[in-house]
Amino acid sequence: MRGEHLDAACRSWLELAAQAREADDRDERLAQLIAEHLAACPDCAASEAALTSLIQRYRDAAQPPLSEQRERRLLDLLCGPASASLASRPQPDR
Amino acid sequence: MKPWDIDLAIYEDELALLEGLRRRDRLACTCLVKRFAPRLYQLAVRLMGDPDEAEGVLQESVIQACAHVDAFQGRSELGTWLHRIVTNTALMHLRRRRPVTVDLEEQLQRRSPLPQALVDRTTEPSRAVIGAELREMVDRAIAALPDTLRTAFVLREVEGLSTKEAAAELGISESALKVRVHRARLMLREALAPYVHGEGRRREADA
Ligand SMILES: [Zn+2]
Repeated sequence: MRGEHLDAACRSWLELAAQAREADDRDERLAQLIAEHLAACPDCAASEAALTSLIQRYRDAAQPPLSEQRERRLLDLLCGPASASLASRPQPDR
Repeated sequence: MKPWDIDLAIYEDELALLEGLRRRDRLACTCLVKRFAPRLYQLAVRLMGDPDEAEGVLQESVIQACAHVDAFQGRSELGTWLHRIVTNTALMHLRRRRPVTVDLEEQLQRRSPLPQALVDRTTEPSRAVIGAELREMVDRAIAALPDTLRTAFVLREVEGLSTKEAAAELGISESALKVRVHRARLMLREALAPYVHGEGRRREADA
């Protein structure tokens, strides 16, 4: 696999994709043209497969948790500071 | 013990949780947040591309959900209903935020080059594992996409909705959705080139 893909031909596809204005009658054709190119161009096919694999791993990766601060702000907003009434000790000052 | 360290088992059952929410029970609200907020926050971050804006979306969504829980028909799962509320709220925020730009060249020029040193070279035993730095890079690349492309890409490729479902959530045609996803993928291929090529090598090594 070449180190730097996206040669002139493929770049022109990027530009076409970028310049095209959304319009239902053209979208179907454009989607088809892009799909055809991706299938026919070995470099794009390889890059697409590699991107799919990367995104799959990204999807499967554990995400950083909702921070305690953000969770507390959400709970305070929903339940009011009275959520402290559920506590066994008072909320710390903020 | 934190104020919300409570027994979440009380509302383990979804119907009981809904009942609790309809009664405006505080504990039910807390359970809702505990169970769904982390996942919904992730969705909001990915749709908005910004953690602080995502927090606003999450807050508004959960408040909306609690206020309109009576309207929840139970035809879908609670998680799916909440997913839709967060998506709609995020889209509303995005529409308000700034005019939509789909200028690819501008986006590519704005993109800062990726440091080669951060290319993930870990030889983790499982393909399912993704390095923290790599995840951050993907996060950043997705965040840098124009709003219209990011929302299409996130719903279809990250959240795993079907083309039909994602198009319906965004209120666009299925072909428009496909084009947006293609565009997003092309931009990501450029933005993530070092990783994508690393992924190619990984695949070759695996073969
Ligand atoms: Zn190509």
